[in-house]
Amino acid sequence: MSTELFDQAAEELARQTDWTLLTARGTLRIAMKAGGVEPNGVGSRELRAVVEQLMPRELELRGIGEPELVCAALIERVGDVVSDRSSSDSDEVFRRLAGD
Amino acid sequence: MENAVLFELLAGVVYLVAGVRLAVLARRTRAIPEALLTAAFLCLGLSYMFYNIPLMQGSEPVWSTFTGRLLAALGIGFLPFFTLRVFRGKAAWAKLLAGANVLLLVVGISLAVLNGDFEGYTVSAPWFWLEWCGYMLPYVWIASEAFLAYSSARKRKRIGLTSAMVTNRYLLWGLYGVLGMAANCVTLAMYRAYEATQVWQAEWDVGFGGLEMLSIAMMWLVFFPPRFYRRWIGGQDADPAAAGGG
Repeated sequence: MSTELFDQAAEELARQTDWTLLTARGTLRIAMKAGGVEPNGVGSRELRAVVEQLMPRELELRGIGEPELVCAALIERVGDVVSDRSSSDSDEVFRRLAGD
Repeated sequence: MENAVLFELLAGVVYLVAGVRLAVLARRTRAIPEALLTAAFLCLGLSYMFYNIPLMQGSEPVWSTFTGRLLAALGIGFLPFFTLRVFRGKAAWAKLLAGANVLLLVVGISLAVLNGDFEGYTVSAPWFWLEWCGYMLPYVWIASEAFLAYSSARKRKRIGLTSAMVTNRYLLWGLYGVLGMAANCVTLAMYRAYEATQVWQAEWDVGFGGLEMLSIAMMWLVFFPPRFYRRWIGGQDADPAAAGGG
């Protein structure tokens, strides 16, 4: 399964924070886990929600000043990457089942 | 026995209604999960009819029981493929598990038929257990995957990635799996008592009927959620519009 968007986001996070790629990937993975999102095949909508709502706290915990700016830059670079993928395709099936 | 027959007939009707509704949905979406669930529910609904309509008339012909048994196996055989498709699309182990389940049912029923057991109530026979595992496994898998998905969906709900209704549907589907497991255990006890006495025991009938009623309630809330239930659960969305995407 593709992790293209996750890889791009982690690379951008490493650039923004001067972290190693390993640290950036680990931090992003923790934030995604907290949001119930799988890195494998993550979609842009999911990535945006995780970065906007969960990453600021993770960055703050790791001593990054002005985490909102880092997150905004991250979203600007990768948040609009067109992706119809979603790590939660089962949500779509369970939404349709009742004719929603 | 009469109560159990009524509950089972009601369960059959609910399966058929849900199956027809899913068939309409599957025709519109052309999606495989809906098609698999349609096939499963229609077979299960018909199975209940073949088992119970003759019982209502006071008879239990072997041809009808055997047809009901085959339809039940076919219907339940579709369920792991639904679970595979929805939750584990590309996992090799999951494909193997779904295939192994079909094998359990086919081998179990074939051995029973070769030994003249068309009804499938012979708990003391080794082939019975193959077939029984084939009925149990899909529900264990449904419950496991649905509860895992529920746990993950609760987190996504908090950040507006999914709706409260979808999250709740995972919980209900997990409970449906647990009830299916419990019904299989009761069936086992029921068949054991029947094999010993050649009489269906009322207490197991009542237990089975109760589980059927609960299963019907779960299915109804998943596939036909009433307005009050939608309002109650849907009201938990922080931002219903944001969660609408699914």
